[in-house]
Amino acid sequence: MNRNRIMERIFWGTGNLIVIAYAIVPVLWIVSLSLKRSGDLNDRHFFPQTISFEHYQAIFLDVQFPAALWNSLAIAAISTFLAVIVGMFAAYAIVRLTFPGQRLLLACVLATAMFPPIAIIGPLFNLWRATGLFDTWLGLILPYMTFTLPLAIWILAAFFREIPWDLDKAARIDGATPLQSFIWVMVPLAAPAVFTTAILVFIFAWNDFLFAISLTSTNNARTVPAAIAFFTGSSRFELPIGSIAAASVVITLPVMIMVLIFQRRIVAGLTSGAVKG
Amino acid sequence: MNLRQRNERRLAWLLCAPAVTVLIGVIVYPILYAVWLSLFRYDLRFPEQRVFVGLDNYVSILTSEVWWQALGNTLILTIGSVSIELLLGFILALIMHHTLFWRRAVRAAMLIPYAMITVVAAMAWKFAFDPTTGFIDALLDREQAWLTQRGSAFLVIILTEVWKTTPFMALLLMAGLTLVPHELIQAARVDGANAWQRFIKIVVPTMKPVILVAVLFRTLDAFRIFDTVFILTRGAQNTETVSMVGYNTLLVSLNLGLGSAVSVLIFVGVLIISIVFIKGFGTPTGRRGEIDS
Amino acid sequence: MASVELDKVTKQFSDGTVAIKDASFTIADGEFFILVGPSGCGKSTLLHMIVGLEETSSGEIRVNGQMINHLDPKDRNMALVFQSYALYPHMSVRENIAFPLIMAKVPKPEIIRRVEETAAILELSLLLDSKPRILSGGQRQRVAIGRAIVRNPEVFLLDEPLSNLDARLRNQMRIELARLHKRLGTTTLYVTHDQTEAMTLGDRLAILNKGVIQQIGTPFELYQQPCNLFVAGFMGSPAMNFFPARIKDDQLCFEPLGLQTAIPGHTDFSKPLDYVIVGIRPEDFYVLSNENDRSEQLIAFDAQVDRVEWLGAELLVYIRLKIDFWPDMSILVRDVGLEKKQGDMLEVIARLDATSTIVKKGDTVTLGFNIDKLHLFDPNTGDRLIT
Repeated sequence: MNRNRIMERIFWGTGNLIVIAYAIVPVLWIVSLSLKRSGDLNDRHFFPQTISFEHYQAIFLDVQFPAALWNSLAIAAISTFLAVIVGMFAAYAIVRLTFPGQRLLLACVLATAMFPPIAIIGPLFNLWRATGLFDTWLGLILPYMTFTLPLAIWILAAFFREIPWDLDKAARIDGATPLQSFIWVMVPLAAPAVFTTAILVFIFAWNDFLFAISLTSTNNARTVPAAIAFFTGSSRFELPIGSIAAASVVITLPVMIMVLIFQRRIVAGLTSGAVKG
Repeated sequence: MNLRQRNERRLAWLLCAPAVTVLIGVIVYPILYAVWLSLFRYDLRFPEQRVFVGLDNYVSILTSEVWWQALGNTLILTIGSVSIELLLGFILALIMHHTLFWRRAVRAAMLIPYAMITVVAAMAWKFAFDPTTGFIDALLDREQAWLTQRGSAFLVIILTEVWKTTPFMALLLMAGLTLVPHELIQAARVDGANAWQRFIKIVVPTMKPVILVAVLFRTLDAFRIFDTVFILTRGAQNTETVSMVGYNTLLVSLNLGLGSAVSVLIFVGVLIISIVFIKGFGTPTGRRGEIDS
Repeated sequence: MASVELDKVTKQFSDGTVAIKDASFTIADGEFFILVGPSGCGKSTLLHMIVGLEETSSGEIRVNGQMINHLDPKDRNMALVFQSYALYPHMSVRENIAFPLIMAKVPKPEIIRRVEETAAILELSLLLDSKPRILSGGQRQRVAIGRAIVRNPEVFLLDEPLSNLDARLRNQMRIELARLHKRLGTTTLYVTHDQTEAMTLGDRLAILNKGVIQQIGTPFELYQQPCNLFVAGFMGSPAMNFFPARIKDDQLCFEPLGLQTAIPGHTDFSKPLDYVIVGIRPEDFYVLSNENDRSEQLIAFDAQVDRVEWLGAELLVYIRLKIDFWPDMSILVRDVGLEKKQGDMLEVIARLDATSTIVKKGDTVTLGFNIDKLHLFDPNTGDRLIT
């Protein structure tokens, strides 16, 4: 190995380390905060001197966090399921069928992707209170599935477009109705894309804060991000840092593991819209 | 038109119906309702005193210092974070694209900030910069309450925003880099361009559509920044953004009329940004014509 | 078993372009019928109309006398093998072949039996549980055929099925297809752009160009009696030679050769023409070794050999003739590659028997041809002038 090769390896090795450190430092920080003993929280060390699980115990003994966790899980899962189903139908129609209003629909879907959620918070707040959807699961599921529809339609449409047309035609000649062709041929082929879409939609719902604090008020439907923001400590001016850190780790790690496992699909999903445009 | 064409249309409409229904019910109708509400003086604490006031709400917002201050703050945060993200994103993208080893690990690491909930990320940075809890002050060997001063608070907000969203930018740019034909780079090399010239003259122009889409996405996203600021400062130290003004008017003061007018103005702001991007830089959303082929 | 009848079938797209104009032909029960034409001539569109993937703008498609224009593909009982094979990638070979039967709600035991049977015919029995992606091109091709024949379709359609295979495999599959047709006896419509495939496989051919059927007939008929310039130029490889010839005093003047001859019999001269397009197939040239070979019917001329291609059994001899007579010819003529070339040179190909002829580049040879072998075409319409 010559000098140049060594220099090259050192250069890229350093680059890689910087990228990894960039990503991982805040995560490590919140993990170590959550493992510090209450008394050590202000020791200004990065790593805990003594590891303790007291904050985890505390948040799970309290009623608030388990309720919020359950709400978050259920609401995100149901929103994901609905957004993927509805998005799949629409994407299939947009790509595979011809009908008047096709372009208009796609334009509207794209426009929604740029829509600021804050613009409809007020009306939704008012409407939900009037219709009894305020502080319910459905009250959050509806905006989540709607706001993730553009993403779902976009990714699925990009994928449907790449499935060879001939397969659909072949199914039709083999005796399938359009609906049968969709169920037997398109859906199984689209499974990977559906999966990618589902993860991204789930992350959106899991991550949302604005709807969660605006459209909920109690443990009925309040999700974890909102709950964390309103955790109360021993006094009004003191944040319960340990509990927040523990709760953060609990809701971050599962998503992070999922994302790392399905890394390749997620990168493809995130970039499909922009690059293929 | 014959039976089969009609059947196809019916199926298409049937398949689109659920999507259209929720889009209308949860977005179109509420935004129209917001426009309608913005023309009233309507305070939820005194619902019976609802009065039609025309454009008065807009006048009072557009003449108030709070709004312009918030708009200014939002623009500072937007421009500050997006420009840093673009620069940093390019560096990260180049590392991910060219690195000789650990490629998978580096790309996986990039997804960590994306997978972290914004609220959690903001909390992590908040605690890190906290003078009693954090490690930053210890690291820099100083005693500074970062979030209690406007300038340093902005710095922390931008840092948090940049940390969380640069990976998205970097991934888009990396996907763009893979689209630059290798022969093009080789040709430029043969023509005598050095690495920097190749990057500026060949790579960046070829990637222009991807760069524009990435910047547009992120600009629109940054313009509606809410979570980060809410967690870090709650708008204190004059760091309030337009989304926070909207939230506070609507859900803290419960002033639905005025708040709706703020919402509509934010919506208009997003519209203007989109139009500027699409008209000013050519259509970054690109070749939409493929859809019906 | 079925006969397929097309009656003035026309396809006009919504933007006004006419893809198929007044196509009429009948495929007899059990016939192997070939639709051949250059790419973009509309043959896939016509195929898709027959199978029901495309609307018919006007005209009727009948199967056994029954109009089927408005039937959905699934109700036509036709099977199509796609150029891309269109195998369902998520299904095994067995599931692929079974798919049409499942759609037709055939009872399970029968599905199993028929899939096994079909697989046996196509020698796929050992591959039944594999996924398409691990199969070779030829195997995929056979799965696609299996999926098509498993339900005993009334009509069997193939869209350029061999174009994705390499040359050796293509020949082999061609033989297999012919054998399969003999065995099943299903009415078959085969679409291709390759005239060799068309000539070797088909009972009858229809030649399509720019959406219009040019001629229908057996390969022999089309080759021997092409009805117009397009068919004459399309069938045969290397293609027929064409050149313009003036008509003077009921004589045909080959000006580049300085020859003049009586107009061959059977020529239709109902329309007065001052020149015609003359076509002659490369194999209709002879090399004359001595004066004695010349006769009344044989026209002979000397030419310098420009280049020679030796193909084993035969020899392609290229000669270049200077030609001064370039009438202003219609677009039709351009389709067959006959237009004013630089230097007014015209290239003529002669196909000679390689075993009895020794010709080298630069040699001067005496070539002859029989005037009965000439094909005369109307330069304005492209039609063959024959009574």
